[in-house]
Amino acid sequence: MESIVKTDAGPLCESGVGVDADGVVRVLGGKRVLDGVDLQVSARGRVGIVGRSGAGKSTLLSLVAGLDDPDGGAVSVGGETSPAGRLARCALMPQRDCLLPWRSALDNAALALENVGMPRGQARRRARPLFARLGLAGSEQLRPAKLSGGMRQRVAFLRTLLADKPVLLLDEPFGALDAITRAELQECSPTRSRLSRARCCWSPTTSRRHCSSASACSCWRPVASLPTSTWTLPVTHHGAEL
Amino acid sequence: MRRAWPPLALLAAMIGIWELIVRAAHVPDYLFPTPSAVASSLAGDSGLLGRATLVTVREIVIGYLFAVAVALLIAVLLHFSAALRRALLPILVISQTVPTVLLAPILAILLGYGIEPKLVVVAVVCFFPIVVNAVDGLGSADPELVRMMRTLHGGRLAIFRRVELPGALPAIFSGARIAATYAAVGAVFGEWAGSSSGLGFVILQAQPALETARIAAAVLILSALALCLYALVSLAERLLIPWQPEAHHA
Repeated sequence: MESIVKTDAGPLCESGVGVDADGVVRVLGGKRVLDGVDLQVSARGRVGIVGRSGAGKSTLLSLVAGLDDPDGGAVSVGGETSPAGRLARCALMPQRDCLLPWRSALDNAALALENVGMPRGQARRRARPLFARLGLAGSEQLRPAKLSGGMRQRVAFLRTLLADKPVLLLDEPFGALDAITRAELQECSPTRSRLSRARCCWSPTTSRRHCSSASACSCWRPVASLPTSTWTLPVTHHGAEL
Repeated sequence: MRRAWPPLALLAAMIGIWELIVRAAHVPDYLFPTPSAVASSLAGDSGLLGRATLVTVREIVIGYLFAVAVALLIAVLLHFSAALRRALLPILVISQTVPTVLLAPILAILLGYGIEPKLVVVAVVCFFPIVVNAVDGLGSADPELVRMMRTLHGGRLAIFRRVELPGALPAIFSGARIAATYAAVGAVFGEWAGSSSGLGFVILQAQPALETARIAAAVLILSALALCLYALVSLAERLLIPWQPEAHHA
């Protein structure tokens, strides 16, 4: 798979946190899942990755997120090439919602805040107002087992936003939802309500409307340039809007 | 409560058959007591048995809590250090092949005839299933949850506190429930090795006097104690793991 994807998905912002993959190779179980992938996403750019099941979309995302290291080539996020540096800059919403069954919806959403040492009460106060915006009001205290699939994904989405990182990586965030719920979720988009200071949103998704450009993962060429739509994630001061 | 009826009915039927057979065969009480003889021993010797029970309960409870504390501490250490796991786990397994019955007299010589050697015997008997289950439970956290935590500023300690430990609770309690059924036996072993009180001591004294009904009464109390401890641990499990599906609880 020889390929080059270049997107000019938006102006470089001050922080310059963009994603740069250069000849990325990833071998899993003796199979070259990614074989020389080049991809550049500028800061504030939004890119959708389109590809067949098994094409390596999730693999690429976890490489960018710093969860794994490539077997060849290099990945940098905002100039940082070390896995720890990439982890510090990327929030990844996994395909599975990965909610912790022992935590309430609210405490699941506030997980990243607690992880950086914020007291639980304060973390809850910060996460609570966002529940209403995502249509989750009233379910703050419910454990994941009591939530519907759509609610679980919304909580997982909130949790990802509250990590407050410059790069958002969404791995088919609403893939498990039915078409109606998905459309609703994209409409009630937290992106309009300035929930995140994310400057770079990158998602292997079928919802192309939310991406300024989409790339097909199977052959790694830009599919189409799509208009920037509701996914405007403006730069805000840390937590100013929350 | 409805679940309790089938085993209770079966138990009552078995006791009734036992009584009938022993009576019909004219077996003397000192060879094999009837349930009614055991019951009258329970009532007649209530003072003696009551005092002995208090002593043994103390040994069981303190020894068990001691075992839980030590087991969790060791499990966490083993969880965090692979080197320690490789070094210590085989030794722990070997330690379990030493029969506690033989260990108890040595402990009695070493620690005297007070409560201490009994606590150690109870703890030695109880701690192993807790350690093994806790180490397994802590190590079997869903890797996807761990990866999720790493992308959310989750450090090693945060992952332990928020993912591994709560996820290991069901396994830890499985071990704790198994251990709860061993505690009473451990206390009796400890008392047999040297003591002047407790249910084990009562059994030891009743044996040469052929007071078989009293032995049976003491054994009955011991199994009731083990059952109570098991129920308490199960209750604690239910309170501490409210997210666990009800069906799991036996």
